[in-house]
Amino acid sequence: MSENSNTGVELVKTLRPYHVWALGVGIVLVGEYMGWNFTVAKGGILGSLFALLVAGTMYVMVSLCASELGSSTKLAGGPYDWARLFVGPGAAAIVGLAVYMEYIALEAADAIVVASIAQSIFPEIQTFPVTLLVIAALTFMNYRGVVAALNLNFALTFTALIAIIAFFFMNIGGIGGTWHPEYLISGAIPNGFIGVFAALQFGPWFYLGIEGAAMCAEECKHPTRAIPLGQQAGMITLLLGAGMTLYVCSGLIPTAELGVSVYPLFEAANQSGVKFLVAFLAIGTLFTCLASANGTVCDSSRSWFALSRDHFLTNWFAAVHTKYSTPYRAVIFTMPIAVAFAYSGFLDQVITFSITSGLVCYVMIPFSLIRFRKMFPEHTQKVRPFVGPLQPYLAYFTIFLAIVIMSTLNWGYSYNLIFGLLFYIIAYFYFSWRYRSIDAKHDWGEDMGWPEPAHRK
Amino acid sequence: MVNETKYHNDLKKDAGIIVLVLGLLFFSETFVFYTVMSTLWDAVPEARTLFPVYLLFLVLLLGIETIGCIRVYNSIKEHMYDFKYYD
Repeated sequence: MSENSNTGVELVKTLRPYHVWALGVGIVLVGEYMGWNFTVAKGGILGSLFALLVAGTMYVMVSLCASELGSSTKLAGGPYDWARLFVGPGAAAIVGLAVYMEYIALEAADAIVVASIAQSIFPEIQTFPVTLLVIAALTFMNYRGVVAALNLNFALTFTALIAIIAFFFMNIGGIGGTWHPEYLISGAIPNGFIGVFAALQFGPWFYLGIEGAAMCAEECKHPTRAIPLGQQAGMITLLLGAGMTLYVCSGLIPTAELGVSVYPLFEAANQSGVKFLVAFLAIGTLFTCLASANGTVCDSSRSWFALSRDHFLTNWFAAVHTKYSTPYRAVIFTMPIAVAFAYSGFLDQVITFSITSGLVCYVMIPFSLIRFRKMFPEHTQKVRPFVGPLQPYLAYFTIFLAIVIMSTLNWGYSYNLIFGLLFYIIAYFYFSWRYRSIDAKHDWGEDMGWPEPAHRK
Repeated sequence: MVNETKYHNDLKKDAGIIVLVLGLLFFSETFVFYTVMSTLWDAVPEARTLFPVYLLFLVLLLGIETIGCIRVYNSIKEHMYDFKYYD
């Protein structure tokens, strides 16, 4: 521990499964209100359905890996801590950074969208000051306490989810606008089979960040129940929302317009002509952006906190607030980085960097699980209270799908892909070198309460 | 001393919520899949070519999620008294 007196203060353990659900779904649901529709621009309706199913399968498996790892380790760093414990310091550092960048970029994107919505309602206001205000308000909320922040997330996310479900059932019930099959036929597959495959690059939009639900494990009252239950409930919710969103939007908005829409669900509600739905989906769009930005502050600060606690960064960020029990310095530090991303203003570039960072995590999370299973093959209550199914085969399949999806970024975002991967390769070598200079002995019994791993026996 | 009746009731509540949303998921995913495919089946020949791949991933998605949920239920049931989940 450091010289900071308050680094010895522990994170408070109060969170329940619905908080885990709120954190995971809150971050991700925004992707169903906007962004997923770029799959339609690439591959039409068939491309979008393909991306939904393939990315959905990958995320179901990522969620199961995260449930097992999160409920076993019960640490705030999530993917970072899993890579640190089971792979190595260089891998841990790049995962920690990838998680941080994935969520910070997403926070900036959410804040930009909230400001854009505000400007569309009140044209006289400027977007950048509103973006700053949103980032500052959510940082303050997370500074004050994780329970308050996640209770807010639960309310916002639940409202936004109910809006999607209500829209879907009203539409199939014949009272939520006229569904046009001809829209699907005219825009089914505009760019051939290559387009269908290229649509995979935006498939993660439907679910990007759900693995973050496991990052509040250290603050859960019963992490061995809350993490698997909250994570799986979150994944089901997102799959539900994804299918319903694709259905209503593809039948209410002509495909050419859907592929470039900024707020497809809101536009679909407008097309339905039902005033209740227009108002409900407008509120849902705003709420989901706020919930996502709120959740990303929570997760990115935990990743930064974990990197700092393990001396990859200055230990100054590892301080925990004596009154609110939050990693307050790490929380506050999310603000300047998010503002810097927001200042760039290039929403698609910011988001593509977020997706690339996420895909780096989706290779490393299952790899951590494979290593975990080899190091600790026994399924004891102490080491592995939740045992995921069909492992390690699902982990290998997840890695394969993540690499396939990453390769599709080559169509349109090749420079982003190269820059992102270069960034993480440099980070890997830098942190491997830095780690050698610190005295970091690891005692499984003392740190985790576990026996020695199989290869040391 | 653990109140076993309360524990079993709370476990049933957890399971009930998951079964409800899982049922909704099966309905919505198969409904969306069927509607899109049946709409495009005659008009877009590529839909028929891609159908087996789509069906494979739909089955994988629903199958893995269902198996995962059953594992979560079994895990909670196995450890609920040891970790005092419902106190």
